[in-house]
Amino acid sequence: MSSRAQQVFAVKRLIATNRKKILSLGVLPLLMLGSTPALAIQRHGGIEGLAAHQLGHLLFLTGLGIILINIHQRGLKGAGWPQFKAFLRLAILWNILTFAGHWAGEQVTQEQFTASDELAKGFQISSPGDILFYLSGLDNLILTPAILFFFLALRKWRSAA
Amino acid sequence: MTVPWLPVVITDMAGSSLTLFFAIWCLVLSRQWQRQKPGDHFRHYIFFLTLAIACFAISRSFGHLIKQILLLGGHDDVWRQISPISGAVNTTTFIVIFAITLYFHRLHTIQGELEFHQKNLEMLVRQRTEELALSNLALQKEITERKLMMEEKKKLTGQLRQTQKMEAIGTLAGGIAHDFNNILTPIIGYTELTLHQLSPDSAMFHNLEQVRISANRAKELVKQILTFSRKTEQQQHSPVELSPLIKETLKLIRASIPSTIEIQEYIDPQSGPVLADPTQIHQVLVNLCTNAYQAMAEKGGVLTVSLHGVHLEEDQNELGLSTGQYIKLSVADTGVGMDEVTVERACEPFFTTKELGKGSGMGLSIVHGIVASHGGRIIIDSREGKGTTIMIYLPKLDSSETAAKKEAGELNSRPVRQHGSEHLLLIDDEEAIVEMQKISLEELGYRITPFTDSELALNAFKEHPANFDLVITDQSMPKLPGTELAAELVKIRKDIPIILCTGYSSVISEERAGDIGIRKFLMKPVSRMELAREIRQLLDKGL
Repeated sequence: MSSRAQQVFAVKRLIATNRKKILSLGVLPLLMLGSTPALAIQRHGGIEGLAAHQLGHLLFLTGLGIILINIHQRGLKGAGWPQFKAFLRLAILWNILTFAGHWAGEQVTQEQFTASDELAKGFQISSPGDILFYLSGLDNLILTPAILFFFLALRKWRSAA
Repeated sequence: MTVPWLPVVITDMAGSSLTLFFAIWCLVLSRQWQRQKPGDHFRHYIFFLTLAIACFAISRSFGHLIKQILLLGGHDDVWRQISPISGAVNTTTFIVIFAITLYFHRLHTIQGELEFHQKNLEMLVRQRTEELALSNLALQKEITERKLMMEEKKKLTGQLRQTQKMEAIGTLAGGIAHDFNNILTPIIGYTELTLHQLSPDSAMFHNLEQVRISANRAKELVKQILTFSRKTEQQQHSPVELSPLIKETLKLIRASIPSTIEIQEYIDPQSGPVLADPTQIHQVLVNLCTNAYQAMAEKGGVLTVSLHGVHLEEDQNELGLSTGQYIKLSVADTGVGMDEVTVERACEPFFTTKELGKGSGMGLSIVHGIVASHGGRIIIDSREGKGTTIMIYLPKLDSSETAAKKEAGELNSRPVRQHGSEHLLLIDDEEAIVEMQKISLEELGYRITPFTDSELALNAFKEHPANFDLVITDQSMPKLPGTELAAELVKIRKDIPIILCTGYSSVISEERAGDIGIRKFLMKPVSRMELAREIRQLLDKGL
């Protein structure tokens, strides 16, 4: 069997074995349709909707958690696995941070952004939620290393093969 | 409190750029890795996962970069339109990643189950293999035991067949010897009688002397046959220490065989005594050594004679001998050896592999007969081109038996006179024998009443039982055989001494003859001297 045919077979198998789950996940686009328009500071409004995005974050987080548990259960060690686990942990942390940030962002108003011109120059913090929102804006400090670890894991696997 | 927003903008732009870069690289690496081993499920899974994560990372990074550029450029309205699309892509990739994870989880579960079943199967296979190995071992053991049993059975069957064959040959040889002895008895007797009446200087004396010599040679041959068939009753068994006897015999043998043959002796002087006829043991060793010498005559070699005591358990030895102490005499040579067929026939009388005139074929037959009559067993181990070892097992005599037998031996060896004047009743169905013995015994001074009919003899005895001092009777006679006649005579007169003479009889032994009142049991042909000695001994005992 060629690699192309194997890939097609794998995808078909994926769909066949997870048909019920895929159908239940199909509800998400409906949630997107019922969302509100996006504001300047609201990252996930409009046709997407915050609820759908937050649910997506939860699914992403859950998926990464399942993978991490499986790796621990199978006791996978050796080349690439420590980097991959670092990626999973950072990605989970990023999901938690951004999930909290999105929630906190709901409370932030346009007025909290002090600006001398069109560019925002400062952000007024008046509650712990504001701090969370501000920190979630710095989420690349977690996400970039996470992707870097994923890259390193893949490189190790490729070298070890 | 107001915090600067610029760090957010900078980290967002720098981080997004780096994330974008690494995400694209991840995709490239994953694809390369997957292509290295197309059939690997795990690599497929990682590739799909990378694809989803890269889609998320690229769309997010790209979206954030655009966002920051638009916001910095004051195009908030444009961003408001793009933002939901970028977010929707991200949300979708999150869902895809989750789906891929579930697939991986399921794959992992199935793989786990497979591994579990595989381990279980391996364990079962291992267990079964071990069981099979054990069964195999047991089976091998059983097969080996069966093979051994079959070999043992084959060996025993062979031994039985050999014994039966030797027994049959013995019976046949004994039967021939009987008739032959009956023929030889008058020949020797009359020849001796005539020689006694002739002058030693006459030509007739010389001619008859040749007849006597030839007849005696024939008598010796018959004796040898009887030795083989174990029917001789003239063996003088007494306790004998074999070691000095063997050593002495070997000295004689050494003198008669060439120096190309080395003789090695391993004689245990403490091997102990056996109940045997020393002359016969001497003959056994001479016969065996002669055979060994002839086997090595061409190329020379080593003749090894060993003697030592052994203990045999009945269930442990293959010789069929009962448990006890035995003396083992071995004679080994490094000569031409024998094949299986020859070994099997080696003890048969007149069987020889030697050239005509070089061997009588009686050597081993005599050894066999002597050993058997001593309650022993002979074993032949031979390999063609390697040599032959003949092992003889004789029952060892314990010290108490030794003393008793010595005493009895001394009694038998006392010298006796031959002449007498007693009245003897002589019965034999062969007229020639009766006539010859009558003349012979009368010459010694005895009064003889001869009969060729045993019933007439019995009647004569009934009429005057006190008239007779001794009865000499043949065994094989029509109407009334020797044993029955003896029984009748003893009934009439309990103390009458009876001598039973026979050429061969398979129905009477010396022990049985003694039980029915026969005092002496003699094998034909009996010389005049021997008969006279036995008569005198019996008559003197009764006085």
